[in-house]
Amino acid sequence: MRGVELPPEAFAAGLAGLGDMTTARLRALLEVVEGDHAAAWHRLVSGEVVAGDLGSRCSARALGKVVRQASGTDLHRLWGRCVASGVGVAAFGSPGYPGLLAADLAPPAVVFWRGEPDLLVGPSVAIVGTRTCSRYGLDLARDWAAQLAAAGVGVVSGLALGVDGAAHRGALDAGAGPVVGVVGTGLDRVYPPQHRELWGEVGRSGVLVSEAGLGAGPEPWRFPERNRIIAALADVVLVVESGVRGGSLITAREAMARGRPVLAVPGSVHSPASQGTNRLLADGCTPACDVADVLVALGLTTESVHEHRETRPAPDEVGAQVLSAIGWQPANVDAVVGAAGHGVATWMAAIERLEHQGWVESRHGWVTRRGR
Amino acid sequence: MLASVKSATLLGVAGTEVSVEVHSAQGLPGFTMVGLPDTYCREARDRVRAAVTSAGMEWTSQRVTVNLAPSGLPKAGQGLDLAIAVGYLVATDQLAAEAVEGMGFIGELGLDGAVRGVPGTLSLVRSMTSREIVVSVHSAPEAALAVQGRSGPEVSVRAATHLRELVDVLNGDAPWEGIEPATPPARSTGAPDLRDVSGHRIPRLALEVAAAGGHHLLLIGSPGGGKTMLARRLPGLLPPLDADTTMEASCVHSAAGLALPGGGLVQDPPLRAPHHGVSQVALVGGGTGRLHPGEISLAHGGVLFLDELGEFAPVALDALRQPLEEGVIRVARAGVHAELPARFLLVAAMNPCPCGMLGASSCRCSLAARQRYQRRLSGPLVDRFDLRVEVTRPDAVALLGGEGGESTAAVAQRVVGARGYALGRGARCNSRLGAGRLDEVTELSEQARALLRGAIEQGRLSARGLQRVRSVALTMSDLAAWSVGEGVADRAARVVELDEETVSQALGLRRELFVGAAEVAS
Repeated sequence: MRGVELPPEAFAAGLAGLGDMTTARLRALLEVVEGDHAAAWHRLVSGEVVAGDLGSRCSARALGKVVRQASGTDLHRLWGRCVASGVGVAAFGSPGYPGLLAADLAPPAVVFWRGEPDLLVGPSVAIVGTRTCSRYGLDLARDWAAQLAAAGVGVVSGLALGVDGAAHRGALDAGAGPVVGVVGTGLDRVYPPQHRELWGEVGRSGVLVSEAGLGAGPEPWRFPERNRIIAALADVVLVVESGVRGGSLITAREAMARGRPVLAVPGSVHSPASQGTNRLLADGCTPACDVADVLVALGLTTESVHEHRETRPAPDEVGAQVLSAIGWQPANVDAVVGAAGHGVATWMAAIERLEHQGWVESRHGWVTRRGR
Repeated sequence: MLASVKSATLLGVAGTEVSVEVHSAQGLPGFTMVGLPDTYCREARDRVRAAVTSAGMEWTSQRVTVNLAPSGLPKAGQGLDLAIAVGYLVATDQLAAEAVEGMGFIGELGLDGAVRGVPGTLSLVRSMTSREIVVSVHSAPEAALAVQGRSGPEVSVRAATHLRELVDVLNGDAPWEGIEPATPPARSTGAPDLRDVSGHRIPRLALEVAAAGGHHLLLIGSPGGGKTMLARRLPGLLPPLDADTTMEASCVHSAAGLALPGGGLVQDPPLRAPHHGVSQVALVGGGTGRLHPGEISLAHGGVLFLDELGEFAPVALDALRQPLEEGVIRVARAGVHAELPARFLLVAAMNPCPCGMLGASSCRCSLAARQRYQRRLSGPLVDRFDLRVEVTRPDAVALLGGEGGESTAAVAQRVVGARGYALGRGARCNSRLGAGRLDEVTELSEQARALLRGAIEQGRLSARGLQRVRSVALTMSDLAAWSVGEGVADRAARVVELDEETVSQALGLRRELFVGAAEVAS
């Protein structure tokens, strides 16, 4: 490849892959050179840039780091890797750049994708939530994502642990509707590693999107920026569960800034994973009590929602008694098995069976009923 | 002149008889010791010399050579002092050779000539073939236990307090001192009782099954939930040790230098609870020299309780795997190796996360901190716990209502019953049934088979896990059978069918650890 003239995308990929080139700095730099990525790159490596070029808040030291990172980058090799790995690249303003993002408030200077970029059109909903979600959030995200996908709605999420992963899983299992994964790291850096398989599936049957160049690691500042892209790509944002602070609240704020409807799923006032969503509701967000609410927010008809069919085997007699004793709040297993006239072992076995069948979840000595 | 006197040395928990040969002749005055003595033995020269002169005997200016035979075996410990001194006196014509004919000597000497007890007296005396064995007056009751009920010719234990008095007795100028016989202790009564435990219904069941089947138990729960309190009640549920185990456990205690309970043999299942800072050697045994028994051997026949399992050094925990499988620990060092008994019931307790509050809504740990904490336990070790139960704080009603449960005595009775069936099947307890034997004595019902197939397909059970679940199910079925009074011979002879209910119960006592909400489950 050496000696061959590089396309403008190569310079864009180089700029976005620098560890300390934040979105704001890149935007500032491109303003100076009027959007010409090649010119920006040459300016960086030749040392012609001054601190002000990367925005007023960039110190001389930070500038030095960026320049060093740029000088240490072999652009030909990087571009070669890009081409070989089948990752698509488009710089802002170029014809291949996704239209939805081009029209956005804060469009990424460059976008990378793996999979089918045409999936980024059509009605879509972002299903987001905390990584430390409860079984309620996990089941709900998965179930609703499947139903929305079945209704032809695109499901956008961030491939994080917890709610995000469950949403992708549900949408993929439904086998219909586009699945969009927006990630914070470079497309060759699977993060979190637990989602390697899911990552691959979204890349194959949907599309993975990132504004980080290849090789970019999970630096904390990348995730709020990733959330802004999720908000930009979705017509509606659904927050399933969130603590008082968290990335999904950033997504919600970014969506509000773009005038997109934000829906929140109500949860128990006792659950720490629902404190953020309940706060959103108190602040005036639309509550989402079923899939139809989401479809209405998208302006779609609710006819396409299928009646949910129960697939779990019906609990036996003891199982039904146990279920009614447990209720919908986490209950202490020890209190449950001591509640009635049955032997401890019998009730424990019944809980074990119910958990196996998917009726309850028992964790760390607490047992909760599962919706479906 | 040459003298030969019998004594014994300790390696691990086993004694070996040693001949102490003393030779004295004209030559450059000196005292040499050969035959692989360790530091303690080598120092015997100075102790013996001081003791001999303190006892009013003469230290001659001859060339004295002491050989410890068999000379290839490393000798350890201070128990050879007395035999060396007696041998020296015979070799230098200060004591008649006929007076010590057929006698063995075990004891450490003080500089003033006093005879002191040594650790491992029980094993040492058991290894000796002499018909009269002289020990310190302090170890005499223990030595008497060693020769009690031994087959073969009558062996007498003699007590000595001072080298001077011993010489007088051997010369026939004084009678032997009398020995206080050890009184076998009554079963200890101070142990905590299960009656005081309110709530904790599932952990109680787990304790009962652990005791009945010899299944290792892991308790997971918040701090203050009662894990330690429960674990301490487990030894009380175990039956008293059988004769062989009693002697093995007593030898270990003796070799470790611990006082035997009430002067008698160890008959109650011991409870050892080492602190989590314990080193690998202190846990499994070893060290230089005579290979000291570790905590797992001290727990032989009883319970090894590891509180705060996650805080133990991983290398120490992984050293437990072999003894957990085989019931013995083989310690090998260059030139020496020993097999120490280590058949114990492992009970461990840990918190579910660093703050300990996971499950209740107040856990403050980050996801990463939680995963780091959970990664500390190796999978193979966790897999060896047949029973894993969560211990939650009992609700206020159970705590304040004070409805206590069954007493230890009531549960222990069922445990003995269930263990009776296992003995009938030719195993000490169900957890010791091999895979082949388990196949012979149990049969899974069709639904139970389907349930287990599902668990394996979900990745919940390994091949070992499957066998352990069957073994636990058999124990639970045995406990139920004993309650309805099934005869031991009948039950041991027949194939026990494990139905879905029993297998569900066994699975319910084998909780999956550490499945976080972060993972996408079905």
